[in-house]
Amino acid sequence: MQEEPTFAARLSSEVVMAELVDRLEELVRCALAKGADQAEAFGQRFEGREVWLENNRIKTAKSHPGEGIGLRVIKNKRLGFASDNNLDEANFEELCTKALALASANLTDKFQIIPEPRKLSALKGLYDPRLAELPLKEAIAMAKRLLKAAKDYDRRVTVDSGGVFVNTGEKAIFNSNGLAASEQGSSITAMIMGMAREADEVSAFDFQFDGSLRLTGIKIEPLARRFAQNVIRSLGAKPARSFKGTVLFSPVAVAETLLFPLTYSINAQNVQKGMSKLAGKLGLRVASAKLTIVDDGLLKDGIASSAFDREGQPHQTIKIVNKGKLITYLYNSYTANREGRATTGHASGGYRSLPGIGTTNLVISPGEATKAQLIRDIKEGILVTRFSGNANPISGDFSGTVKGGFYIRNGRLSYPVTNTMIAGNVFDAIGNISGISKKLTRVYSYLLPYLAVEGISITSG
Amino acid sequence: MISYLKEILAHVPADYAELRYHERRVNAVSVRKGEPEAAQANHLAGVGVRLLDSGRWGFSSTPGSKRADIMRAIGDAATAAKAMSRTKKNLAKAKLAKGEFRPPVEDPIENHSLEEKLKLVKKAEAKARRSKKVASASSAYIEYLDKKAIVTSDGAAALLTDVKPEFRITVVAAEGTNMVTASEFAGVTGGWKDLWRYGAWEEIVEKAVKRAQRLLSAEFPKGGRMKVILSPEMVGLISHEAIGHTVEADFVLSGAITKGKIGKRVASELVTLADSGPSVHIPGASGTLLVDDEGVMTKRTVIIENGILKSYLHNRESAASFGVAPTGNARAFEYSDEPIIRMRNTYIEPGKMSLAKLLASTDRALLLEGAGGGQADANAEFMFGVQEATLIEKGKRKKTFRGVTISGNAFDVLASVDAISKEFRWALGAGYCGKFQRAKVDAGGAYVRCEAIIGGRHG
Repeated sequence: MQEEPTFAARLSSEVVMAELVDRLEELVRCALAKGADQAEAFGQRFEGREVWLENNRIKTAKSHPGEGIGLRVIKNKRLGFASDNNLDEANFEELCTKALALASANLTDKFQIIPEPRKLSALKGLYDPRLAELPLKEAIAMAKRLLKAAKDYDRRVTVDSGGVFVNTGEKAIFNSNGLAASEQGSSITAMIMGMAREADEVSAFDFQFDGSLRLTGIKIEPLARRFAQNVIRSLGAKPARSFKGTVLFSPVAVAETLLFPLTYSINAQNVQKGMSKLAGKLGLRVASAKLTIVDDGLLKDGIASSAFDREGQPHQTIKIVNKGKLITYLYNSYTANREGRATTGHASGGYRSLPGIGTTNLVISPGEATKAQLIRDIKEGILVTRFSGNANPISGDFSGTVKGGFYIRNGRLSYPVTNTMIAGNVFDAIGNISGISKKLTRVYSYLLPYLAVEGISITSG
Repeated sequence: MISYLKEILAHVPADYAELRYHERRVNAVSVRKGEPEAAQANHLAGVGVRLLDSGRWGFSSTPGSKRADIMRAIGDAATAAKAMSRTKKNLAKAKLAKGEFRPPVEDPIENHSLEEKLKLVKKAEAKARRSKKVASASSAYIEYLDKKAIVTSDGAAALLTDVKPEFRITVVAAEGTNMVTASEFAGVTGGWKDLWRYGAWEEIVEKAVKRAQRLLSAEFPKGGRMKVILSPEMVGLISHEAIGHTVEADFVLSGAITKGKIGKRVASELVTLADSGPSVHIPGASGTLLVDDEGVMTKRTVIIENGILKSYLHNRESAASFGVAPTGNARAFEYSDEPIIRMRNTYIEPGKMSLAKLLASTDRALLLEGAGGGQADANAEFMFGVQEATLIEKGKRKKTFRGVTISGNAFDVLASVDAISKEFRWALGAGYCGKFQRAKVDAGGAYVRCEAIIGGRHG
């Protein structure tokens, strides 16, 4: 869950992170001196504070400082990469040697490129010094509040796991084309997962998330209540019937069901390698006219906001799907170079890996209905609050169990369901959207509405 | 490193302390559709510090292994412990590891150059793509080379070396807009020769290609409850995800379905299910762990014996609270992770019937092969994707289905078991488990006939 910290950041000309950039420059010079044609160094320093909940109590609290450096080299159109979790200059010689050895063993690829510098605009209000200075004790107190609010809602609630996580740090990049950039950042996220128990009955698991770049941006008690309400309501579940009908996906269920095949298929690398169903669909209608999807790397208080991507290229606000029409794929400089176009600034990843491609803050634009209105419009269907299953990123076929769901009949939530599965195809489903809520909820770095989709197979009993 | 860490440990003021130096090298090469994707070498080294003081745990870590940095991490861990509430926590007595440990290796992977590995990946990918109807393919080789030194204030002092290579192939077959994928892999703890134990790379590629080609013309099944034959990879997936997690003592304490069920019948008497640190039956299981990250010697832990629940999976703390011996299941993925209860190699013991006989005695069932993704809850309800389902009627293979999922409650599924084959294999060698942090695990077993719910589509 908590991988390398994805810290959003403040770009600041006056904040001096020159020391890290200088170090990266030295590594790039080392690589060039050893024979690299081009080189790029990406460095990170971070401090993580984690408080984990488990079994209705605080399980552990820990702080861990970390750092690392990743070196990408190109020699004779061959790519090599090496990383180390230590910024110590004593490691540079070995890093260069390893990256270059890998490059000489590699296959030739004429599209390999280290990008040119581009203008970066500063982002404001994305760094909270209070987070950087937050003592571990305060984070523990927040985790205790999360636990208490869930248990206070109803004693039948069991918090299986969750926690509060604070990340602060800096990242920097330097390449042989003269690109140099650095940022400082902070974030706080919280999540809670568990079930309700009554006598022998164990309800379905529920999962809720919140996050912010500011200490005051996170709402602990509402998060706990959303979770507690969902698990208590799912007690007393029974099977529904098998039918084809409307599924109302909660924001968490949208993330679990629909998003992976979509983000996979707009990734230019997958498009270029024949692994995307959306290949060849630029400018065409791929979804209901109700659907607009925006990727916003500059979003105010976005968990993934940052001035630049893993290659030092500017982030932007970009429409991916506009009123059902596919506008663009997401590129890093390698995939952009293959098509002779500019990158969209979606190079992703940390110091340990080559720049990949990923979304930043992905937003499904809000609709006009309230959740209650969406339910009222459903003659027969299922509200899915959590989905546990498979969504094949290439074919788009999904199939899985409804975890926390309600049978909807004649515009009313009838009863919680169990032993219920849904199946369909993501690319068909986005064409059959009949309603979108106006309220968006944060799920990781996504901002998502409730989505009503017609014609989904529901198996129950 | 051991004596260096021991000397530092002597100065830690706590009831219990543990220092774990972990150095990891990860080398990876991959090719997709004829082009290189990654050629990378990662190096990671650092020390994790854990201490227990007045019943309060504290954990911290530092990159590198300099004395001053380790001392700072010890200070941070002590600060973290002080911020927690006081509790009564004990650690169970354990058989602590002393000395050097390394799993058996045939033909060390270090004897094979990265060029050779890259060449292999390239050939594998090209072979797949030359096949009929194959639109795209990707192949990867990854190796983990670990060195660890674990010392605890109560006497563990273990030096560990471990190597886990893996190979993967993914094939995309297409006909018009109809697109399917199939993937196969090999993954072991051991050397180059161990990696190809279940077949050479050519056979692995062939298997994935054939499956993708079959799936292209396969239909979607109708949903419903029916008889199934689980292949070792599906048995492994259910044993790990749907049973194994519910017997991890931390999950038991937080109310998993197995709470209070030790000594009770939870499965058909044909079923014996275990989680083992050493690789049993066949060497080289990729979850092989000789010493856990609390310095405890591992062994084979029988979870279910002839249908009766026998044991949970423990670390030293949970073992103390249950009044049993630790099972050696405390694991940390990297130096900056604290050890938590994790599985190793989880499986169902083979039976007496041959697979041929098992199939021949089957009136009507779906044979489920190729593990897809999936999840399970603490109440043992699970849902897993299956790459390919074959309808068996009167012992004969009739028809292939795609887009199949299997679900149900794992204990209900195990209660319905009516036949287990004697054929056994480790089947999830390229598997990782995610529980707050990653872990390299393996799982497998025999072919198992039982009942489950098949997810399908309605017209």
